[in-house]
Amino acid sequence: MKALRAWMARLLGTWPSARRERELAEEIESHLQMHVDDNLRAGMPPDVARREALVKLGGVAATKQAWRERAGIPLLEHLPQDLRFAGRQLARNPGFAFTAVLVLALGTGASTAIFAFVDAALIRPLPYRDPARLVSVTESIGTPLRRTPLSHADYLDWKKTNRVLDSLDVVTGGGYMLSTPAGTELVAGARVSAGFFRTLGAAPVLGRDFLPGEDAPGAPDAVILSHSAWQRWFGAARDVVGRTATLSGVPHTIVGVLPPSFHFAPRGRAEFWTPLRGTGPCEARRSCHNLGGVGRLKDGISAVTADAEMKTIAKELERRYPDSNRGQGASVVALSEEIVGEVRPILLLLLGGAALLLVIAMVNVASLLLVRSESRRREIAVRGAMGASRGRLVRQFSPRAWCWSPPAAGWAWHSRRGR
Amino acid sequence: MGDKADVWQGTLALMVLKTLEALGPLHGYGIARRIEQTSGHLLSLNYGTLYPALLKLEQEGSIASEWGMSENNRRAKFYRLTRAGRRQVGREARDWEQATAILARFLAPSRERA
Repeated sequence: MKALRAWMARLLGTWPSARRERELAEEIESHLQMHVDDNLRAGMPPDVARREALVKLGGVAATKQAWRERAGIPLLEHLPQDLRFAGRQLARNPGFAFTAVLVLALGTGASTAIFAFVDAALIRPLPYRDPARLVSVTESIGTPLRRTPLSHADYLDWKKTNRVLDSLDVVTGGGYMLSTPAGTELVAGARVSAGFFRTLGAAPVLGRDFLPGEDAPGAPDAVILSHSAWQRWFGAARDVVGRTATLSGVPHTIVGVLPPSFHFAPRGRAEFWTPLRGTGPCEARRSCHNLGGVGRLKDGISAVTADAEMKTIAKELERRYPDSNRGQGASVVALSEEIVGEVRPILLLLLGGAALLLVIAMVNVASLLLVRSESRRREIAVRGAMGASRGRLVRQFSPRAWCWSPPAAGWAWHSRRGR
Repeated sequence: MGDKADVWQGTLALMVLKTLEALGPLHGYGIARRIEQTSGHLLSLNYGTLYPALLKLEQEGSIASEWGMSENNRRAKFYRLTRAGRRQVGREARDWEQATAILARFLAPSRERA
């Protein structure tokens, strides 16, 4: 409460007041007079009396300056003046200023770039609906546990029996030979179960998603395009839904186009998404593992609980199908963990490196300043003798350093804009 | 406790308040002289440091000032304790006494051993 009152008083005190100055001068002079009177009464000669009083006061200018600093908010009052001073200094030594700004810009730019990367990779959540509820579901083998892909038959059993997932879908890679007017081109693709995009929470921006059952063996061949495929192979035509794309000789009806923001990191390059039929050579055998599972946890279920449940189901399948499922366990982890887990240590290392880079840049600039200030010792001494307090000197010379930060930051920001 | 400068400022403020409590309204020079005297001249303070301290106390509301006439018929600015200041002086004096009593317990045993 006291402090608040004091700050209010100081705020008002930033207004210059001739009356205040006059009263201060009067008070100091009256103080000296009374001291001189006492000294004279004690028998000192007049000039000694005056000198002793002045010395005991500690200097009229210094006292007044200390009082003035308490009376207002010196930072505010002197800021325009200090900034002008810093500006003049900068103009007189452009090479020095340029070097300092360059070093700071490099340090800041590198750190921000790396941090932005780490932020996008590690800190931001995955670009799906409610990504915390998504899990990666795979089989596992051996001790220590190694995650292995799902087999189609196991996937169907898991999907039917489990009570912990709202939905379970699978995805696997595939390449196709796309028939184009210019000939055939090898393109990347992926095969997914019908509910895959729904589980992730992604919806096509043109056309529709796969319908439940569209992945059944006899269903018509359909394909959903990635946004880049739509632009690259179909000229971003708005009427592409319903047209045919011939993939490896088989005509597929285009039913939808994914939004530009969609990506699924494990199948990042896939351009043509087709329904996974259970009829492929690998899918027909329970012992052939080629699928990655993505599931959405039920409300209130944790990944750990789901993991335990799937392990139980796997054990039951192991018992029922000893030939194909011996030693096959299950593993359920958060999808974010699966996608970024491996790369996290490297990214954190990079981040540490960036921070260190920034520190080095700052140390460099600080030593540049230190060298500079050596040559200003006389100026500082004179200012001190004229009554500048230590605080005043700090405030006087520090804007020069702060002045470099905005240009450095601006430079760094501008260079990142080009990205 | 802060660094030396903070401690010094804090103790000076208390000394000023105590002086005003004991002697009633007084001008800056008188306060400075009296503080030196009370300390048995063990404290040799730079009189100039008193004025920012007085201003701080005035801004905080512990003391109030007005111009008057000194003993030698000189115009001088007199300071007096406010009601809030009176309360503060009692509180801080107690805090200090407690602090020194605790510290004395640490210092006493070593003296006993010596």
